[in-house]
Parts: sequence; C-alpha cells; structure tokens
Amino acid sequence: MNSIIGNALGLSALGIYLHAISIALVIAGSIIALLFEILSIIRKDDGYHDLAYIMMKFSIIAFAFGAVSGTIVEFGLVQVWSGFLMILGTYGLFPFYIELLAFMIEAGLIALLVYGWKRFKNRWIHVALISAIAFGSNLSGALIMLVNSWMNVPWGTGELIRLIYPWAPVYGPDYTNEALLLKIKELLILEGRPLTEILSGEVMNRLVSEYGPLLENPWAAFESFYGWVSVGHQLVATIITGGSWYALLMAIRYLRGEDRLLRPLQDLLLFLAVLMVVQGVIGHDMGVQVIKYQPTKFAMIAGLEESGPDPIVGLTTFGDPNYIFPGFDYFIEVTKNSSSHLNSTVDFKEIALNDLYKALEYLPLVFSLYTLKISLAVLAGLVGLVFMYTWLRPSLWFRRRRLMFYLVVFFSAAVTTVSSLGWAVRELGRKPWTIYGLFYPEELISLVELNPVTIAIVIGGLLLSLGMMVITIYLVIWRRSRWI
Amino acid sequence: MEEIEMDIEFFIWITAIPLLVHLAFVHINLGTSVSSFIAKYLYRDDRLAKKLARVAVAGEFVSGTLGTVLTVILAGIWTPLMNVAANILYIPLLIALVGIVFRLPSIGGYWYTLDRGGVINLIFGILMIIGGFLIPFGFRYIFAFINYPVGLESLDPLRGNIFGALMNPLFPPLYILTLGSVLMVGFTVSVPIARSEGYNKSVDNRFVFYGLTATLLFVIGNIWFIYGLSNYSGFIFLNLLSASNPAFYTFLLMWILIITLMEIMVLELRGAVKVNNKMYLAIPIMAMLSMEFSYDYSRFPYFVVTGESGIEATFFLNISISAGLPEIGGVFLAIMSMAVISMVGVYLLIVRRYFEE
Repeated sequence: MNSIIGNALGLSALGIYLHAISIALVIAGSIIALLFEILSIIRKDDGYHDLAYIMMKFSIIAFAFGAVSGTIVEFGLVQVWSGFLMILGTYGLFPFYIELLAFMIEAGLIALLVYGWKRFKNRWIHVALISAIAFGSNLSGALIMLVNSWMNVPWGTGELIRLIYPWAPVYGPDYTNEALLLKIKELLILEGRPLTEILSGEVMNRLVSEYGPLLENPWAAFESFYGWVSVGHQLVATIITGGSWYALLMAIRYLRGEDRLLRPLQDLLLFLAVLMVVQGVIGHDMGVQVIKYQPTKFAMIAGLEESGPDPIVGLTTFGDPNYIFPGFDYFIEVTKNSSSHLNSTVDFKEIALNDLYKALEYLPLVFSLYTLKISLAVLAGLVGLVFMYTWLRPSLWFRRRRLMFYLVVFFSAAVTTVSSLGWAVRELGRKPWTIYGLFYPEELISLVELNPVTIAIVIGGLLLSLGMMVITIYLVIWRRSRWI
Repeated sequence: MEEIEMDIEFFIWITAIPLLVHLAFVHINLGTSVSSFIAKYLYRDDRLAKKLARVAVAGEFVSGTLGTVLTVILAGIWTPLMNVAANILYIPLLIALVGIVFRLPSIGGYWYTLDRGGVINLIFGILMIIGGFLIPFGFRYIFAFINYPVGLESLDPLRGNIFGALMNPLFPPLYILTLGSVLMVGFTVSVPIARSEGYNKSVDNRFVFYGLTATLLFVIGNIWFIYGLSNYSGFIFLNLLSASNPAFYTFLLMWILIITLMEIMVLELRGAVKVNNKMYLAIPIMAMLSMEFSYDYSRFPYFVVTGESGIEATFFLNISISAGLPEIGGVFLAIMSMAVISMVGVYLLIVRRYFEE
C-alpha cells in the first residue's frame, strides 16, 4: 500500500511540476507583455510594442499547451485521488467554479488580442486587453492555489482539528459540520476504507441526512488570510520564475548581437529584482502565517526537533532573537498530557501521537530543502541588486555581454530552483496529511491501484505537450531573425 | 441540502446547457477536421483544407473550454456520480485522456504545417483524427454506463469490475451512432464552406455524398442503439415511445430531420435542387441535438437506469454543501456569458477572419 501511495504522490508531484512550466510562461508572459506595452507608450518606442506582442505569443502558445497539461493533471487528480472529490465538492467548489470564469475571460480575450493586434491602433486598447488577460490568468492561478492553500490550512473547520491535535490552532469560523466529519473519519479509521468507497453510497447519504451538510459556508476558502498571503507568495514566485526564463531568452538574443534588446532586458531585470524585494516582504508574512497555522511545518523548516530559538525568525517576527519556538518535543508532550474531548470509539490520542512521529520523519528532508531554498534565494536577491544598480548604468554591459548573460543564467536557474524547492517544502511540510490535520493520502486514494499504464499515459502526455510547446515556440517565435 | 434537493431540475439544466453546446462544437470540430484531412490528402486542395481546419480549430477552442466547464460542474455538483465514474470507468476515462493528449497538440500542429504539407503534416493529421475519435470512445462509456451500469457491483461500499465495465453491450451501438453523428455534422457543415470557396458543383457534391453516407451510419447506429435500449434499458426505451414524455417529441423531431436531410441530399446529388447553405448547417446540428436530448432526457428522473427502474438523480447530487441557487446560478450565468463572448469572438476572428492581418 505504501508504495502505491508513494507512486501516486510522486506522479502527482511530477505532474504539477511539469504543468507549472506552462503556467509560469502564461502568467509571467502576460504580465511582462503589459509592462512592455506600457513602456512603449511612456517611451514612445515601437520596439517595446513589438516585444509585448512576442511575449503575448509566448503566453498564448503556453496557454494552449497548458490547457493540455492542465487537463491531464485534472484527470490525474480525479482518477488517482478520487476521494478528493469530496473536497472539490465542498471547500473547493466555489474557488474552482469561479476559476472557470477566469479561464473563460482568459480564453475569450486571447484570440481577440492576437487577431486584433494590428487592427487596434490605440495602444491603450492593447493595455486594457492585456490587463484583462493578465487578470484572468492570475485569477485562474490564484483560485487553484487558494484550494491548495486550503489543503495546507483548512479554514472554516474552527476547533475541529484542535480536538484531535491539542497543539493545533483554531482554523477560522466553525463552518464545518464537526459531528459529520468526525463520523466520516471514524468510518475511515475503523474500517480502513478510503473515502471514495463511501462517497457515492447510502452511508454518505444517511450520514448527511442525519447530521446535515458538511459545509455551511461555500466561501470558506475565500475567507482565509493564510490563503491569500499564500496566493500572493505563489503568484509573485511564478512571475519571477517565468519572467527569468523570458529574460534568459532575451539575454541569449542580446548575446547574439540583438543590441536593441538591451534596454528592455534591463527593464525586465529591474522589474524582477523589484519583485524579489516584494517577495521578501510577502515571504515574511507567509512565514508568520506558517508559524501560526502550520506548527509542525514550521518546526520542520526550522529544524526544531526540540523547542528552541530561531534567532532570525524570532527577531523579525517577535522582535526577540531568543524567542522559543515550539518543537516536536512540545507537540508530543502536549498530546500525551491531553485528555480527549471526543466522544468516540477511536483512540484519537494515539493517532495524534503517531502522526507526530510520522511528521518528525520528514524533518531532516524539509529542513535541508528549506535551508537550500533560502540560501539560493539570498544569492538570487544579490544578483537582483546588481540588476538594479546596472539599470542606472546600462553602458556597463556593452563590453560585458557574456558576464551579463552568465548573471541572467544564474539568476534564472536560482529562482527556478527556489520556486521548485518552495513547492516541495509546501507539499512535504504538511505531511503526513494531504489535508492538514484532517485526511491522509491513503484516505483520498482511488480504488483502482495506480498502474504503469496510467503512469506512462500521464507522464508521456505531459512530456508530449511540453515537447510540442517548446517546438511550437521555436517554430513560431524563436526562428525570427530579430525580435525588435 | 433541502434547497438543492428541491431544485434538482436547476442543476440538471446547468449541466445540460453546457453539455449540449459542448457536444455541438465537438461534432463540428471532429467532423470538419476529417473533412480537412480529406480535402488535403484526397483532393490535394490546400485552400479548402486550411479553411476547414480553421473551423475545426475554432470548434476545438470552444468545445475545449466548455469541456473544462463541464468537468468542474460534474465534479462539483454531481460529485457522487463522478466518484463512481472515476473508479469504475477508470479505463475509458484513461482512453479519453490519451485522446485529449494527442488531439489538442496535433490539431494545432496540423493547422500550422498545412501549407508546407509533407510527412509531418500527414502524421499530425492522422494523430488529430485518431486522438479526436478516441475522446468520445472514452466518454461514451459514461453514457453507456448510466443507461446500463455494467461493471458496477456495489455502490455501498463502492465496488466494481473495471474490465467488466468495458463489456457494456450498449457501448458499440452508441459509439457507431456517435461516429455517424460526428461525420454527418462534419461533412454537411463542410458543404457550405466548400461552396464559399467558389468551387464547381462536383467538389461540394462530394461532401454531400459523404454526408449522406454518414447519415446512413447515423440511422444504423440509432436503430442498433434503440434495439439495445429495448433489451437493457427498458425505462429509456419506453419513455422514448411514450407521448407523455417530452423526449418522445424530440425523438420524433430527430427522425423527421434525418429523413428531410437525406431527402434533400439525394435530391441535390441528382441535380434536382440546390439546397440552401443554412439548411446544411441547421438540420444536422438540430438532428444531433435532438438525438442527445432524447436519449438523455428520457432517463429522468433517474440518472443511472437499471432496466425498468433506476437510481434517482438526487442520489448523485452533491449534498455535502449548503449553497444557495442564487450563488451557483449567478456564477453560472457569468461563465456562460463569457462563453458566448468567447464563441462569438472565436467565430469572428478565426472563422470569418474579421481581424485578419
């Protein structure tokens, strides 16, 4: 069973990473196109206008292939983790439902922009259309991430999780039917069933009839402050990462002698460097939220097997470098000393302890990944400072094209690695749960065992769409002799 | 929960509307992509092939976005049904996924390389058609399943035989019916497109002939499917023949439309009349929609039919959430409004080349 769960988790992770490539190109592409189009108006320079068109073309090609990889990931999610349908039908329903609207805005306006690019003479119409598309793509990404954030911090479950795990905080208002959810958990634990087994049957209908609906407020995920901070953090990371790839492509062409690209490239690098600063601020808020709502994850990323200080976080968060953060020893002690308030045949105390020991196993890995992530982020930030300084002195690069190219390569590689590590920490940090404090992966898995055919189809499909995206970009955009 | 149970029809309609629009565009895009391939490789007519491919791409764009809408509606509103499908129909869904994987990139590739032709274009074209027809091959199993749930052993706990589900006797006629329907719509829609290129009569008459052949396949598929329903899904069969059920009238309409279509195509091939372009657009699409509506509506109040009886739609409704109709309806209206804007935009910009540079 463990290997099946492991394979399913690995497949989902790989699927998301591969899909994220096109997502980063779409989201960053529309934002950068907007930046260049605005600059074309401010500086009255058609070169920026042409470049904005190229960026939109990138974004549109990535959107088309992203739709393919998104479908594969979506099917993978439903087919491999069919128990997740309960979350999709409750806490995730309105975010996904409104995401459709964002997707429609994006899809509907993209054709209009491309085919009308030369027809609309007024540049502000371009700005308005690109803004709407950028809004659509960012909103679409934001709402999907909002559901993922809910999986990290199940907002609207009130004190429910605390009833099982005494160290856990209160997760917002009590919109969840505690009695029903606990009954479902009892069924899953006592009978060792995955959720999917009971989702379509009389048992579920009888439980809902007896206890009432699971969720009272369908907007619960939208009310989570953690959720929105997390969305901001992810979106900025996506724009920086995707933007760095565009910068890399521009740097390659600049290196090959397209001198007119230098100024726009420097503008883009400045924009990315500013975003790095913004990300620092949001990242701090993200950290505060993690401390507050994901205590075990924070203990993992800070390496706190034992409670103790984390001088930097203590100073920046509480103004005290000696502030003692709770570690796993504290969580275990609190759990051992707690008396259960739950009227249940299930020994939730033992389960809570076991979960802590399982989470503890992830500590070395999460701690290492997080440390590497922060180190690389600092280095990328320093390179960002160089980009800021040289924006004021563009002539510095005239005889240092290769140096500039290497710096962009490093920056791009660093921020891509940071984003990838960040996602890994996000996903591994909430283990052993898939829904923090509520459901384990084995409770959400499908009845059909994951098999090599499914793995081959999902991975093969994703690689095919990714490969075709690269080929299309090469044929449609890259082969042009000059971009501006 | 009470609200949701009371308004089951509302949820059925917000599923049915995007489904019918989605299916209409699926028929157009699958059918015209076959026509385009024929124009390119049988008649060596690049200009017509490109024009037909453009319609196919536009149709793919719209049907793809509406397909996404449907997936979320099915997963979010008909959650228990989706849960059954995800597990019991695991293999058909995987087949549909393979189809999507091949279809979407290859239709773009086919369109893009159409001017240059060569082996790459041919490969894209073949993948486009195979991928395209694999998608309904997978999804039509869901329709066959809800008419006759082969493979489902128990709902509580959910148990089934994923290989047994492939043996559904209603699937082969339904798939043949779908092939006939897709090709009928595709070929007949291609007639006015071929005419707009200003060809002589022999060129667009080829598509009339193909359309007639596909309509015959559609008729055969229908008869076979109805025979299958009479054996395995008596409830649907009786409803189709019952004048008290609205499906009876749409079923009748479908046959009237089909007979009319076949008649005008025969007359046109004999040179007796010149059929108006709008007839070739409207009649097959209306016949297809009547067919879909009849076979789906005749299932209600059940969602999964088990012979003479069935499992009611309310059983498969997501009752785990308290969401008011105004909220769900409001967002749905906004989504469909954007879908309409998207469809009009795509039609103007790609099909009519309104903004062509």
